[in-house]
Amino acid sequence: MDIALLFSLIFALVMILLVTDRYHRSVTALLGAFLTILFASEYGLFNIQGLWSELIGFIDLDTVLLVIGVMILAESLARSGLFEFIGLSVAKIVGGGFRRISISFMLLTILFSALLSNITAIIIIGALSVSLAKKFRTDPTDTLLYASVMTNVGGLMFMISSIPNLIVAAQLDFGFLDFVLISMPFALIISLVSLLFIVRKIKDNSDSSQQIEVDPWEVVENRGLFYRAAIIFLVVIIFFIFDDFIKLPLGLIAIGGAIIMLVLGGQEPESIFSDVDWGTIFFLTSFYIIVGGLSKSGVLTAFADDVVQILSFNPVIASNLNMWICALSSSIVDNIPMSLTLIPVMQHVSVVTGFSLNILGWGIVFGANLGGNLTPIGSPSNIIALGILKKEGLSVSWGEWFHKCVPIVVLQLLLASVYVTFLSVIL
Amino acid sequence: MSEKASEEYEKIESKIEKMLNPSITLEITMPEGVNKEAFLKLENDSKFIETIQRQIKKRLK
Repeated sequence: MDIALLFSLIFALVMILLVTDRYHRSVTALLGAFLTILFASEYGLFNIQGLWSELIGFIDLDTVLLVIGVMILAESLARSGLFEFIGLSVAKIVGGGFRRISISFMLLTILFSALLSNITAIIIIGALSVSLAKKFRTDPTDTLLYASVMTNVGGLMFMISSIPNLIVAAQLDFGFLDFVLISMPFALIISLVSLLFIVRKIKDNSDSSQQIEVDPWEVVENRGLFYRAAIIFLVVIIFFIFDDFIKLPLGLIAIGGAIIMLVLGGQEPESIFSDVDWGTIFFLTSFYIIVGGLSKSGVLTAFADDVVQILSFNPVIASNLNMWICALSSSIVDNIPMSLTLIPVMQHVSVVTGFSLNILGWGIVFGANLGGNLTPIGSPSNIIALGILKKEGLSVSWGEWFHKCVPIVVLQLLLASVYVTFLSVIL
Repeated sequence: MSEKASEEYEKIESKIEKMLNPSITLEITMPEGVNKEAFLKLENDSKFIETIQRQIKKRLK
């Protein structure tokens, strides 16, 4: 059997299993990695004597450490009660009915998902929205649907805001400041446009006579821990910001910050470790091996050559197509494999055509983050938002999702196209 | 939604719910000489709950 065809089939099998959600995504990726190792060893692509060092060579340890470190830091910060405290404080200040609270929660969702994983952000916003909706005797459906869309907007804010950002940052050498200067302004623009859209859609049918008479500090169990977690997180962010000057690997900063958080944060390490999303780490490392197999078998180069044929005529169209391909594929498949697969392809495209790898990289960031909102299953935050609503006895159909959310997402992607075109001209 | 996400949501939701709508759960053993069916129905009897709330107000004043 042709080696390239064999590895293409393994990749196709993994993609089909991911789309159909037959097994947990980490199990699918582990299976794909195992098949890759098996056949690559059989066909002599991997050196069986030095197999482990070869496999480690495929895995970008800086990215993996960066992801683990950011997960530990975000988990510790989330446990301090900071985000529930902010949410309740905002609800108390805004008051005057559930509609006003919902709109302010859209802004909070962007902030929370910029600092936490999208999953943690939507769980906190979901819990706050559902409890407040009960108090105001109204329906939280629209609030949760729009919040899940906004988590992916928040995911564009900083380098640490989403896993595709961390992957692109580590592999294409984008720094924290690059995200602040390029991705954040765009995230702010689409936040504003999306918010204007959402404000018109959220109806007010709540009991506005209800008052929120709580002390938000009640949600913070330990103020010392609260301050320590917030300060350590802030210091790590400062290190990320100045990384262009201190030149430390991002993974080292993140894992260093995580260790300091575990030492000084005062939280039970076992409990934090148990809440780290190890499935994503297995998924990420396994997918590096699958991509390594694709690379060694020549599939990636052949695919990249085909892509060059299509994209070589115009850098602006190339950047836009790259972003849309990434967005559409992220709407049905996890955005992590899409980012991992497209990065080496775009590196090849850049080398052959001379197109800016920076622009192609930003296309991956925008497409991977925003595309997930095109379907209810495209992003974990969408799945959780729908899960929370179902738990509360409120089911949302695909039709309702398309009707309410897709117009905003299409608008965001069109704006992303304009922004990528703008970047192609100025960078 | 995964089991872990579901547990995490329930934990946060119940914490916030308790703050916004504080409530207590009491276990009251059935007194002797009352009808069991009538006793069990009290759990969802809004008039009975209002009476208890009035008692609480009186006690905590």
